[in-house]
Amino acid sequence: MERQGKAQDEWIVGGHRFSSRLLMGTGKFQDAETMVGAVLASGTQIVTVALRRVGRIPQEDDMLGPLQQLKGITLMPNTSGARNASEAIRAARLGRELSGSPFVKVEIHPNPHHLMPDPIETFEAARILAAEGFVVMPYMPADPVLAKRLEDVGCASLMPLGSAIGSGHGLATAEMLRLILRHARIPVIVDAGLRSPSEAAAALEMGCDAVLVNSAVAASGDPIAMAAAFAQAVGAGRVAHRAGLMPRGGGTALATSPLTAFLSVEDA
Amino acid sequence: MRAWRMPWRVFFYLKELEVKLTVNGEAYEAKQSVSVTALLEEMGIGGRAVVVVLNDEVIPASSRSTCGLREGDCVELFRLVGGG
Repeated sequence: MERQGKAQDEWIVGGHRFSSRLLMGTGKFQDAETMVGAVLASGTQIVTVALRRVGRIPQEDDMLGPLQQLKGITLMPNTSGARNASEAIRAARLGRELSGSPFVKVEIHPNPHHLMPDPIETFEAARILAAEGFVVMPYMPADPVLAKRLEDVGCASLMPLGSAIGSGHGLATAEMLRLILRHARIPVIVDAGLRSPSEAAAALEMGCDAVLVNSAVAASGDPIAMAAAFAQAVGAGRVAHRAGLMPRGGGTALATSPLTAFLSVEDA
Repeated sequence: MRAWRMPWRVFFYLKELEVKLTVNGEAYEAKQSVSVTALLEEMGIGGRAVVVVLNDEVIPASSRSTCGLREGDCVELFRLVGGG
């Protein structure tokens, strides 16, 4: 009997093929070494990075250097810090210059309190960047109407939030995600809010194409082990989705063993 | 012994070599930075992967050494850091 190979379960975003369905953020890690360890343990092929002005005395670890030495990793600069479409477009162009990657995570959240993505500015930035040839991956509210509009202007994927960035509230938007999934013709990636691998598995079971995690790994007790746990959960969720879950019972129990008197003859 | 004093003419000559720039929003007096490459080296970020924006225009890495800086130029430097 032949098992379905991994190669058959690739997903395509913006014309690029990937086998891993786990995208990783690189923020909040204690040091570059832990970050690289987690990226490797996760098996991810797409990692997000942020753009910042260079300080007079650069103190942070150089995150780009170690990442660029890894094989098979696609960098996806984000536009975090942008408060409107024009700032995001500028950040996207600079990110492409630095990373050499056409991928961009459009991320516009003007309110630092809840960090909810601005749907109007996100749409505007996505429209212009898609026309410029970027592989546009918009971080967006879990709104099926906006999802369709973003798809129509040429986004490569949709990245609705599970819950607020860094909140760890999991798939609070599950019902909206189901609506997005039912109508989307491009990959749907749950971005933000996940805390545990079981939530990532649930997202994949539901039919999401991938998940993006950062805090869940970086702020965990052991980021490298947690990255591996997410990789397994995403794999399990995907296989479960393809297998198809059993139908739910209609409020009654259905025995798995025969319920006839155990001494009676079979087919009696 | 008399202290050595810089002749006025030399002083003004050196003063003219200094270029007043705005780097990442702050005033910056570049000593003898005639090119973008020289400025990056003077700032100690010569070897880092940065993107240079001069007066709102991205300067490709290949033309940094030939790109001269003038009084009043606005330079912005960006790099990639960890982010989600």
